[in-house]
Amino acid sequence: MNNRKSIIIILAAVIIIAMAAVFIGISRSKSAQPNTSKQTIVIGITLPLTGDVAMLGQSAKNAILLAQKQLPKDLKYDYKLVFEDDQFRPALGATIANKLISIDHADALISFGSPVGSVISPIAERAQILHVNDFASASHVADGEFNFVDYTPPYEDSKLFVQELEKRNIKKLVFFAQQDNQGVASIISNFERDMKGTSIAILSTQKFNTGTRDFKTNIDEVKNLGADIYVLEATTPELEILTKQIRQAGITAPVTTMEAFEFSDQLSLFEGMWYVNGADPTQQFVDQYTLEYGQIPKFGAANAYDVLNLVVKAVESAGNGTLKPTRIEIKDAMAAIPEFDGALGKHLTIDSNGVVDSKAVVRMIKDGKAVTIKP
Amino acid sequence: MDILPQLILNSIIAGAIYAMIALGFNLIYGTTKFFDLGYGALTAVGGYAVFYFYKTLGLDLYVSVLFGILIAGTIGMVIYKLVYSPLRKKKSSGMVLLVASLGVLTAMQAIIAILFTSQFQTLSQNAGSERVFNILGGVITQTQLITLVIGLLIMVAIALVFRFTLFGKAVKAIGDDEEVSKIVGINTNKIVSRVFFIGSAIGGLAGILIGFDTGIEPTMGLSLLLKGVIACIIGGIGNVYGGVIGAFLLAFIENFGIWKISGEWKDAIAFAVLILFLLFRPQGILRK
Repeated sequence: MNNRKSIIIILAAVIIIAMAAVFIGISRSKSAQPNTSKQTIVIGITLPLTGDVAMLGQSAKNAILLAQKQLPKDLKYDYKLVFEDDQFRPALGATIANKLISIDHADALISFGSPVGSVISPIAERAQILHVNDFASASHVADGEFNFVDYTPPYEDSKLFVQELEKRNIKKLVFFAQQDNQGVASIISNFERDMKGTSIAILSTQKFNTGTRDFKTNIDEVKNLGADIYVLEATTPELEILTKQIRQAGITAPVTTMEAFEFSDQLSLFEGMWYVNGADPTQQFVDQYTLEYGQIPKFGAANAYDVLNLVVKAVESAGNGTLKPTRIEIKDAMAAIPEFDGALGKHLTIDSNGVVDSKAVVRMIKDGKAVTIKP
Repeated sequence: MDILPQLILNSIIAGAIYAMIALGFNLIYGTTKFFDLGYGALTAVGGYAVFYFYKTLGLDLYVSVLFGILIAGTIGMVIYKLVYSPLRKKKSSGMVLLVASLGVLTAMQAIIAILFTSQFQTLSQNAGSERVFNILGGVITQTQLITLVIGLLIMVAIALVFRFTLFGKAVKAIGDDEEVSKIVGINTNKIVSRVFFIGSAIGGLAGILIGFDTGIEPTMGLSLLLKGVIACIIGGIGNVYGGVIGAFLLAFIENFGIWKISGEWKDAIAFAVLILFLLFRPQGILRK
């Protein structure tokens, strides 16, 4: 009986403490709001701030904060950014999206990359909340009325990639594909379509799953096929391990990719290799970012910068300043944004699929740095 | 068929790693009779310890590796003393110990991720450049060769310890019947502590070698552990020599299995082999 009484007392104490914590938390969040008559728009942002692609996520976050800093002072609304770390993991992305919608009461969502974008996209559509992804190759991330993508579409990458292969007189290639990555899958399907009608032969396609660390058998299968080039579509760390094992197997043929190299922080592994990448940022953005953070922006940062500006533009256009615009009004305003100038260049437009149209470029790794050789 | 020597070499290299994992796991299982899932995290502990001493502090390579092995062994032993030993004293069931070990695995992975971030790291100083040797028509890197040699030496050392030392005989006795071992005067707690130290040190060493070959990440332990467990079951759970045989058999099946089919089937092949053995030969190749 004494034991039961103790348990009840402890449980009651825990419940009281938990309620007090929630009450204090609510009071603090209310008092933290800016003392202004402006309504606050909450933008929930999920990025890979830790994990294998953290350097890209952190750079995107810096770009978003830079964009926020540069927002005009005379806007109709205040903008509160809520950042969360999804580690580039879809399961975490789903949890975060639900948290941002139901607990933070976000008015718009920003996400990063195809894996996370793919799970947030249907959630956003169901919740009828604007969702813009700034790094998704997978076209289905932009499915629905509420989803948008600001990233060079994979059909642009693929078109330029095939042109470049033909220009360089590549006749035979081997393809390594991290087939369970949604962005990679989208790139592959566009590539296979664009390869039809060309004189380039795909000698072999080696598919592997995320988490593979031993590629030796796959490499041995293809190393004597006489490929002119090896196309690697993988994210880090599979990309680096695969590249090292290709070289360890004695293969000297060049490697190339559509976008994958800039996922890596070991660019020296790809020294002298050309590849196709998403649209280049403008020099103005690069200079502003470098001045602010003392380093050049990583791949995807310019996209993130533009995404925040697009969301703000949509909200400002949809609302009258007195009341917050509804989510549907924000979505409609986003879709109606005309041609705009951004960190990815001038005269950018949003197509009917909700994708910001930007062009791919050809780059090369020179002295450990990525350099554009063909805009 | 000129790919055959390389396939065989690839299988032997993979088998050596699986064998080290299986050796440590089987040592612990054979003595304590429970599946220590926490063992998997010790591969990451060894790897990250070397990462810290060698790449962050800049210590000598061999000193860093020694520290890494000792730290993995010590942490394994401490976990036994703090978590498993009290549970075993209370005569907790195998399920309770399994769940506790899962908690240990999860907690250690999380701690490593907090201390070092989740980013994939490599232990080699020069990314992409390493000496490569041609052996009987196949290519092997310096790190892989060292892994093979060390793996073989450890297997031989464990076999000799079991055969010729009192400690080895005590471990076998405890594995056969712990209660009787206590009665005959064996300090079972002390022996089991040492088993955890040795097993964890072997796991840590495996993680270090993998770190030099491909790289390390906080969650590397679970997939390695699963391969080690499959190898143990194939070879004969609790049988140290069986685990080694199982490891090499698994490596050969995996590498030859994906020779003509897509590499994404590798894990499916491994688990299919496991299921077949559980169905038709659950005692494994060599009984305990």
